Amino acid sequence: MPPRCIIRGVKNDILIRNNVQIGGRGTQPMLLAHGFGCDQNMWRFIAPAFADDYRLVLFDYVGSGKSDVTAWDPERYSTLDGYAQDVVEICRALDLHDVVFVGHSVSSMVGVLAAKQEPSRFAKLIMIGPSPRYLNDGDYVGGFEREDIEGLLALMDKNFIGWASYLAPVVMKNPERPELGAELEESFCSTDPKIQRRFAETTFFADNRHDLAGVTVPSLIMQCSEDAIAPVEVGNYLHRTLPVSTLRMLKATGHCPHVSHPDETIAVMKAYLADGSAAR
Amino acid sequence: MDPLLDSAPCGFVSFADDGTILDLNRTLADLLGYPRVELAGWHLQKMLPPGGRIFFQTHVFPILKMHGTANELFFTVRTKSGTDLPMLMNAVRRERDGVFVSDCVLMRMTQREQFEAALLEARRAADRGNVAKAKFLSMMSHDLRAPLTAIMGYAGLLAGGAYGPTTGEVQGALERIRTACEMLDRMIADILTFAQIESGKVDVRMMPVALEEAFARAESLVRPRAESAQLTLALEPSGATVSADPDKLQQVLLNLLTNAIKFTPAGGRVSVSAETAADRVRIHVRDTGVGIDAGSLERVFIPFEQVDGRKSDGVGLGLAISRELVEGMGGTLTVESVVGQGSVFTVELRKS
Repeated sequence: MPPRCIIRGVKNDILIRNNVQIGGRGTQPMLLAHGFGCDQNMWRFIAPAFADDYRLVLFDYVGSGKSDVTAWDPERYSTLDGYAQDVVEICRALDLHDVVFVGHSVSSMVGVLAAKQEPSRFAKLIMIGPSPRYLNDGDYVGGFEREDIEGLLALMDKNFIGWASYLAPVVMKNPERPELGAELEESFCSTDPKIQRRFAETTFFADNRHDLAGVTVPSLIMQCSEDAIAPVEVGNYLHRTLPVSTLRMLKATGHCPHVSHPDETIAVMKAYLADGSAAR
Repeated sequence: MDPLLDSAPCGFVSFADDGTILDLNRTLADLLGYPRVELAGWHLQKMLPPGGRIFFQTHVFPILKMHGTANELFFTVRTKSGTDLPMLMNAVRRERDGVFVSDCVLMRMTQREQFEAALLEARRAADRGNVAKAKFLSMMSHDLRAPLTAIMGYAGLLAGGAYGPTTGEVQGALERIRTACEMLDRMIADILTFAQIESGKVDVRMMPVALEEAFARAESLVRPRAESAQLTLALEPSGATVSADPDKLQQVLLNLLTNAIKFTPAGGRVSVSAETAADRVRIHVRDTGVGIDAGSLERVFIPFEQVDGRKSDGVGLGLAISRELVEGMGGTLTVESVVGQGSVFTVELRKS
């Protein structure tokens, strides 16, 4: 059993909290926000392609990667607004302006919320596999029913919550074999299982459709063909609803084109960024 | 496909990075209820339930791409008739003929899945029970405190002559009421602290704490008790500074010292000392008391347990609370003891 007291007063700085990593040789900031299930490592296949022209800012959400898990606050992170607040706080801490925000999956909506809060900081939103609502709702096709998400949560329980989170702390306390704990942690894209489960609920039960109309920052919607998580209907819905948006269909299938098809992802992003005219 | 692999008693499937099924064995095709020709060229997603698709995209695929292997993953596949089958999956991603392919073995685990589900449910029920207990304890302690405060207050007023003069006999009775109330109040405070720890509501504020000051404060609080128990109390000076929450450390030292005094017969000795080893500091609280037999040593830290021969007037929470607090400060609390000779409780903390 890990200690149950909450340690405060340790360095709770925003940049440490979110394990912010800065790279690149350019001046305009490109803020890369990972999606649900992994951490900033997901960007390693495309980030180098932007290193010459941008100041790259990578981070982990609280509970993912090497973030400070003691900063986890179930109330704050019970909606995507809490995650958007993290993004805004990172921008403020580094005094970022003219930001190209690149969000994968759920982070696309985190970007929308952050851009609504402080539109002046953001130049463009690039959304990879975005969805404002994963559940079907009347005429709206999100792709999933509630019981589908419950199936996902059950799988997560069985894989991580069940074993890693209940057993890993015991293993990690085992001083003779410290490598066991480290291995478990490393092999799951380093995420905190209990927080990830909450992140899954926050993500897949969220409804941010009403947040779209107010977005003034130009956006690129990168829609994968045969995306198992965000169907084509969702990409079209976003394009119709987001005021200044461009929709690009990728040949890439799946939900992580920046991992599975980095070349195409880089090309589409570069073309959009090079194009001065914002929409269409 | 190799005939042995084709009919092996486990499912086998190879798929490309985009999820296209390249090959699968007959066992898996039979299990899924499709003719094999129908499945080849399909997307892997089609044999997964919707939640499984999300899990594949957000966990399995990234793990395979980043680590090259994914081991012992729990997974479900959906058969042609719509039944979900629980499976255990091991997969490896490697380059073959110039392209990356993931080879994946799937084992059925229907019974095991049920056992695991039962274990998980039991664990959840236990967690829920703990939360309910902590809530109850915290509510109860608050409710007990209010009347207790009234009793103490009125006893004080009576003793002070607010309702007229009192005889020496009445004063003696009032003194006994006051002592009993104080004891009850300490127990309630223990239960409250314990409930707060249980529900994760204890904040630990870490800072450098000089042991010299911590020892001096603790000594001033327990010296009268040690003297009335006719014990020698010795606090060896220490120049060490530890990383701790000063109030919590104080609470732990008080608990350990009060215990030591309680279980040491008149004429004995209670001492506190500290030693530094590398980046750790060990604080020892020693007594020449009754001791604890080896079989009961760890039980002293279990909440509400009272070890035989150590019956005290408390509720059995002091040491449980102390250990939680020390662990909350990133340290350890351990005990060594010899029956009839005494005990040593050791708090180990990081040096500051």
